[in-house]
Amino acid sequence: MVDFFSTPLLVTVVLGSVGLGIPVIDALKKERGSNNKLYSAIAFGALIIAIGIVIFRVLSGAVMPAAAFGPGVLSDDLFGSFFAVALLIVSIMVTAASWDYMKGRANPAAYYSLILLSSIGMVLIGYSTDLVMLFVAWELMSLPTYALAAFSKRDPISNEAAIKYFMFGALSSAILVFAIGLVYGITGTTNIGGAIQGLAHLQKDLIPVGLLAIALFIAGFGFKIGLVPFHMWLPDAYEGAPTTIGALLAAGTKKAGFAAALRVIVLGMFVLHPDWTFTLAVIAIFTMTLGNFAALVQKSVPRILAYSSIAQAGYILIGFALAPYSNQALTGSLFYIINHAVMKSAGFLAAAAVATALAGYSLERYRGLGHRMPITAIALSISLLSLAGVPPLVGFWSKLVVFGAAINSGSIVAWAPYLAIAGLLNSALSLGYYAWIIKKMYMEQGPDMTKVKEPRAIAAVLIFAIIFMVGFGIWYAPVLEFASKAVPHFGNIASVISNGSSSTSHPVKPASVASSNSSSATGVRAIAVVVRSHPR
Amino acid sequence: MVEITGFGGIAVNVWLVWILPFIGAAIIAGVARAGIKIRDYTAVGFALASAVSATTLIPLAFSNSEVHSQVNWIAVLHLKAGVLGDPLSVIMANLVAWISFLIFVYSTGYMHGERDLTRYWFFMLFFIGSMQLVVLSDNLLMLFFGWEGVGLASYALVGFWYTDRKKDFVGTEGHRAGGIAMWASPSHAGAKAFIMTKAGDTMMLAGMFLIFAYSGTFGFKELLQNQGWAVQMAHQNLLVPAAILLFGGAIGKSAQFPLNEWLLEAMTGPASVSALIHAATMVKAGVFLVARIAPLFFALAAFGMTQFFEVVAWVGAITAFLLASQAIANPEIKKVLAYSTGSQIGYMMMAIGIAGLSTNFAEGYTAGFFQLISHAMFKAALFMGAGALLHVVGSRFMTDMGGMRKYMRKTYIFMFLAAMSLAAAPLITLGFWSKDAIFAAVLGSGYVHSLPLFIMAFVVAIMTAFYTFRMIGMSFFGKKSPHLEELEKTGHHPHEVRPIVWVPFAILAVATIAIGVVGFAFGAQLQHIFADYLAKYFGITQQKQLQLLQNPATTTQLVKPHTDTKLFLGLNPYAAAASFGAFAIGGFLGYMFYIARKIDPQIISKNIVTRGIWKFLYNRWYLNSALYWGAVIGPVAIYRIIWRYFEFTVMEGISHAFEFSMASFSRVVKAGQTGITQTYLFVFGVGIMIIIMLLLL
Amino acid sequence: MNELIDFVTVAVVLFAIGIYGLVVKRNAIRMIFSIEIIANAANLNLIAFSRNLHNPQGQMFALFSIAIAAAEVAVGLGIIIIAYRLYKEIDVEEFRSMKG
Repeated sequence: MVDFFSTPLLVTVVLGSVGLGIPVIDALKKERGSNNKLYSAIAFGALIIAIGIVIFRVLSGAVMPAAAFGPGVLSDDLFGSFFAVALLIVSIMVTAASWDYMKGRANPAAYYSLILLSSIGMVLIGYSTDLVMLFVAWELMSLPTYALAAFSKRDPISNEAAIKYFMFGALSSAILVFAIGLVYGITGTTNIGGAIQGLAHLQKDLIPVGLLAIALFIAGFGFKIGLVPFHMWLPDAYEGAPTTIGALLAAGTKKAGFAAALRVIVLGMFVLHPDWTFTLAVIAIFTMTLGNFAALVQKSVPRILAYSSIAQAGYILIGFALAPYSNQALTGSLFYIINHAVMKSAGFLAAAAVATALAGYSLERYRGLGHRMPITAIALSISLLSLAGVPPLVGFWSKLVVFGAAINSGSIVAWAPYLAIAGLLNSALSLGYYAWIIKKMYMEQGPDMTKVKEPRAIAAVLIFAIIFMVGFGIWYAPVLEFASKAVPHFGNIASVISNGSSSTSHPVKPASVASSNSSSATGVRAIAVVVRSHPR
Repeated sequence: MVEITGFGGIAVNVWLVWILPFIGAAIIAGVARAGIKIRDYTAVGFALASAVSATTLIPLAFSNSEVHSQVNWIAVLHLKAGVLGDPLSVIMANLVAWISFLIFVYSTGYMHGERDLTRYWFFMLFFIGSMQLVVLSDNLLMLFFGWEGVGLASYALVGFWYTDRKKDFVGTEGHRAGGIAMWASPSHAGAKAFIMTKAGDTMMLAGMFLIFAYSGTFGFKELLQNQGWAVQMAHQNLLVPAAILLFGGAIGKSAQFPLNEWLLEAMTGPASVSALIHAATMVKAGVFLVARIAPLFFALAAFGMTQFFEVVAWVGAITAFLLASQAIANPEIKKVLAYSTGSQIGYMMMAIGIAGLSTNFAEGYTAGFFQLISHAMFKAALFMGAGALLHVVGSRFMTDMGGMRKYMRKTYIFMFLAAMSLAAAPLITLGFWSKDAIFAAVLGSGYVHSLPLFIMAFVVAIMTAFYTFRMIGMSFFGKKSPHLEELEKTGHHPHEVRPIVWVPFAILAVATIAIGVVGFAFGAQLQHIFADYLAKYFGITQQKQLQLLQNPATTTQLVKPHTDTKLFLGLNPYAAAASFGAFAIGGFLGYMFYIARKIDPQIISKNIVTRGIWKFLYNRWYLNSALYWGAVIGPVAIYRIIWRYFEFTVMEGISHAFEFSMASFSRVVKAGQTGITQTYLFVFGVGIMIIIMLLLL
Repeated sequence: MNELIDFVTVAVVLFAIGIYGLVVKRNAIRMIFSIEIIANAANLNLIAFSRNLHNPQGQMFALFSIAIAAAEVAVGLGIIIIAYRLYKEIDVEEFRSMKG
């Protein structure tokens, strides 16, 4: 049973009631569909309350430290709270920006309602400790986004984007069910903790089935994250969807994918196969390289941002690939996740501002933007520079921690430093297209150089993003600390294994449950030792 | 002693002193939309707020306590950001804050009607925030950030009139020395200031990182506590070089020889900028840095650092002499003041340097800092007054002025007072007491070469008095210049400036006399504070120094325990005599030449020897020319050759090839994205297959 | 145990059929069919395992899965209807204005 006053349930109630309430209000109103500002404000308020609840509970210490798994369906811990904060920030930014973006468009009630409901799903993914819960939350997150991607009903591009997104999404959902089914079949439970324990004591001949399940999980979650080779829908979907929804997809759902992936894939692979890290590393390198190279030759800003998202996912995956070898790795990935959420939203929302004010996405429209829309141009520039990893912005510190973890792991696995090198080369490469956009905005003159009125709500959101990126770039300690506390400590796994294990010749040091980083490191190494000696 | 971590109690004020101006700078652009007056009041308001925060810290100086507040900053390098409010930084912070406030008030009047004032205020606020950061930071790294900040602001403000109108230039057009133009536009001057100080900054950075490599920390307190690094570095003979490298930054920022040229041309900035940056604060930053690190190094290695202190003392002395001599020959009023600033700072460096070469460290240290305080006050006043003069006369040349005391009585009175302080008029001016303290420190040290230093200091004092009287004489006395007569013909009568312009410098001028009258007590109190400060935080006391000197391991041939000269009325009689004498000689000469006009200055050009000397001084000892030939024209010519034959051919070729290959790869990727959903799904399926195979193998 | 293998084999075959259909068929509705086939293969798996383990969790999840798949299809069909209105056809291969 889950305590009613736990964070995930409170957030669900708040967002759910408002999310379901908005269409009701709309139905009761006389002039339907023209109250964009009202609904935007209501949705914004609900999201602020929700994030307030999460932050309040984190700061008041009512939240457990990050746990790898728990007995129930939801676990109110720092890991979930971390992702809740990150994803709710994205939703807040998108909702606020929609104040201007949705002006004059049809069906605002449905729009905001869908965003709120999707947010519930995103938040719950972080807190889930049961595969069924995870799947339900995943679908709750995804379904509204399919509809949102197609929201511009009269725009064929939006529709095409939605179809591609939907096809892939539906396929991935089906694959996820299949994978969960397999895991359930070989372990007998859908609770993540129980499943891990089951996987740890698997009979020899069932191990391939377990690995098949993990592969299918990678496909299912990897689609949302945008890993190569499951990424092909992503540029079209992010480009075609309404730009604010592009922000929601790129910054929100993608991060939720990482949250799901962490608990399931990383933990699952821990107990099955020690060489999975190499697979993930290969995927990471392909992902970042493809994303960066493709972005170099694009002509539309949202598409550039989409490919950039693919590349950034590659960097984040480096941390996942190195999870067993370095404590810093997962911390770095989580730190990168929260920073990327803000950076990418800022990028897409700046593009949304340009779309609202200048009605266009092509890069040619951005010429001279530095003069015409100064706030938007500055926000876009800062977010691009931050994505490239220019100090002293947040992106630089994120890359530093992740690549640093890669280099530090070089003492354990030989290929780890190559990940860092690939990351650095790719970052340098990415500066090519980021700087190109900045150059177009500041150093070129467009055909029409009149000043344009910047949409105020979007400008406000962008200013918030600038303060975040620069402020936390200069003083990044609080965010990094939050991320490091949110990493579930893996010491638990060793004790889980040793409780039931019988056939190991190496005695496993039961890692103490105290969550100091060094002890989880020994716990991790103990697992590696255990697995290697596990007869296959 | 108050040791606070975090932000408790009075520690907040220490943070506020440097953060408030930055906040002001960040919002000034937005505030400017609400109105010009509101913008100006906001800027002055932030300066005032910062000053008030600084004032609340004064009790720390008197009770010899400190506030040390830190937060975690870059955890991966174990670096903490923090502020350190000890007697040294508290006094300096207050000095900077209040003089800045007065100059801000002055600016509202002086810069009235100029374009782009929002940019002006932004950089002024940015400047004082950075300067306070330099003063209050507790570690070298944050200090360096502040250091760079003041450099940036200085560049922006020196080049404020970047459109390069003729009237904003400095120097006489057409005046060349050794083929190099000796006049400069604001943009050129700004760039020169930035680049030359950068050279100093690079040295400072090298010194900082050298120390960091051995000690693992940048913090002043941490460096003092764990002394292992100093022992190691001393072993490898790196301690003195590291200190000298740090001093390199001070040389750049304080315009000491050999990086002194930028200060003269920085006079293209508005007079308020010159007053703030180039008289009262930024150029003092170098002295402040030396004041911060000198006790540290002395406490760590005592007489093992004599080389470092020698360098400091001699650089100071040479600069003082060099620049004072050039001030005698220059016709522009702000340039004379600029030379004077550099020269006076030389005095300060000399004093602190000599402190490390004597057994009474506190004496020289206090003398240097005393000179810093008094100089900040009277020099800021002089610059502000000069600004008023410039404004009214419409020309920067003293030859275009003359007899102004009839028209600008108030400016005349207050500038006269401040000038007397600069010239060190005996007994009633603060300048006298501070200069006397320096003389006493030099004479009283046990340094074997103290006599040559003293003679140089004495000669410089004579020159200082001379050029000060010259300046006052040429501007305020004598006949009206032809330029002025023309002005009157066109109806622009010279008039006094508005109160908001003269009151700020009047305050400073009066203060320098008011405190000067009790200067002896003031100096004694200052020495008391610093002696306690040095003893408590660094363990530097006179007994300890004497002990070290007697210890054969730490003894040195350069410093001998000096025999105490009998003090007459608490003053070193030789020093006092020298102070009186310098003023008398220099003042008399100056009076004769320029005020009473008994001797015509033109006789200089009649005699070929004096003419030659004058030309040499006017051409800045040809140092500027040498600098340009050696550091600019020469290397550029060499580079042109390299570029033509190497870079152009080779690099172009490589970059073309690179570009081609990257673009092709990108096109391949782009072609893969066909737009057809089935393709995507097919790739998806194949991908799953591959991953399954990868995992199962 | 034999039965289990049979069920799982059928599920795998269905999975393969679904993937084939998805990749080869161009009509949007047929693609949705294929996805449904895959989902049902998964459900079949779940129920088979549930029966084998004597554990109701699998069947419970299968019920969830069916409901959610239905919702998904509803949304998908909505998108396809709009597509039909815009393009007058639902041949997915023709929807390729976004490429590169």
